[in-house]
Amino acid sequence: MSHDAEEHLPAGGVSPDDGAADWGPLSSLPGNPMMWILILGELAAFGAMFVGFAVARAFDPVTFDASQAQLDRLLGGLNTMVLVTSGWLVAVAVRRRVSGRSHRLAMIGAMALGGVFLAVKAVEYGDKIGRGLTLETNLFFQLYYLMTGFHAMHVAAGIVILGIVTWWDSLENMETGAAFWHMVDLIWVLLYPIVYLMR
Amino acid sequence: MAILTRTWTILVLLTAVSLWAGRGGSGGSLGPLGAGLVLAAANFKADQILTHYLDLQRAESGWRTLFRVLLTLLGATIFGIYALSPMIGAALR
Repeated sequence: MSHDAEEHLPAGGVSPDDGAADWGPLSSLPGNPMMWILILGELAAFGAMFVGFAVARAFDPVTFDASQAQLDRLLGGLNTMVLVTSGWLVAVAVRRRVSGRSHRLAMIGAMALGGVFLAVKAVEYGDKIGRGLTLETNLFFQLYYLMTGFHAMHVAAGIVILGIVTWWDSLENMETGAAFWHMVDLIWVLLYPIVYLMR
Repeated sequence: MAILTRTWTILVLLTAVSLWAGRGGSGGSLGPLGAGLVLAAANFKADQILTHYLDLQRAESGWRTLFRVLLTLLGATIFGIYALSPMIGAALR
């Protein structure tokens, strides 16, 4: 692994005079600016889902609160801790990459915790489906499966992205992969209280 | 690294606080105070992730402000809908 002049480039990994595209204000963000466009889009999509969920609850709080009581808040909280720990490992890996130290173990640990998150989610889904709580049960469970399922797909994609940037580990790649993973982390930190706790 | 570890500790502790605030059996509303506490904790956690994990403090200050404004608006909107839900329910009856 080489640690060359890229470590000293501004955030975004692009030198002002190397002929690369000028991303304007996006150039000051860590990683590839395209990833930040994706992050803003994802935040808008999940934000709209969260507001939609709150509005749906306001129209039928009795059904929503009774359905929410069927969720396992402890498993949801455990998964939050798993994901923020994975995010910490990724952030540590990027800092170690910047300072030229070994970072692959931290990245592998982060991916493994992503796998733990998905395993816990599978246990949750299995329990709900086993008790007959499916997409067809009511609007709460439709939204629960939609939002947590969409997020779980992002976790799965994030594990693949982390694997790619662990292998091709330029600083810009690492920062770009880390930005996606932290976005996944951030969305769960907001999703968990809205779906599992608010009543 | 110390800042990252401190951030991780804050995130885990706040998750435990949220879990405690939102605990309980099947019944019982959190009430506006409990809901506000849970949402405020989530918002603070999101800000910590943006600032330290995503390292947004390195970017131009406008980005951090933009994300903070967006998160605050989202949290305030959800809290507002939550607080208004008894009135919405009453109006529908």
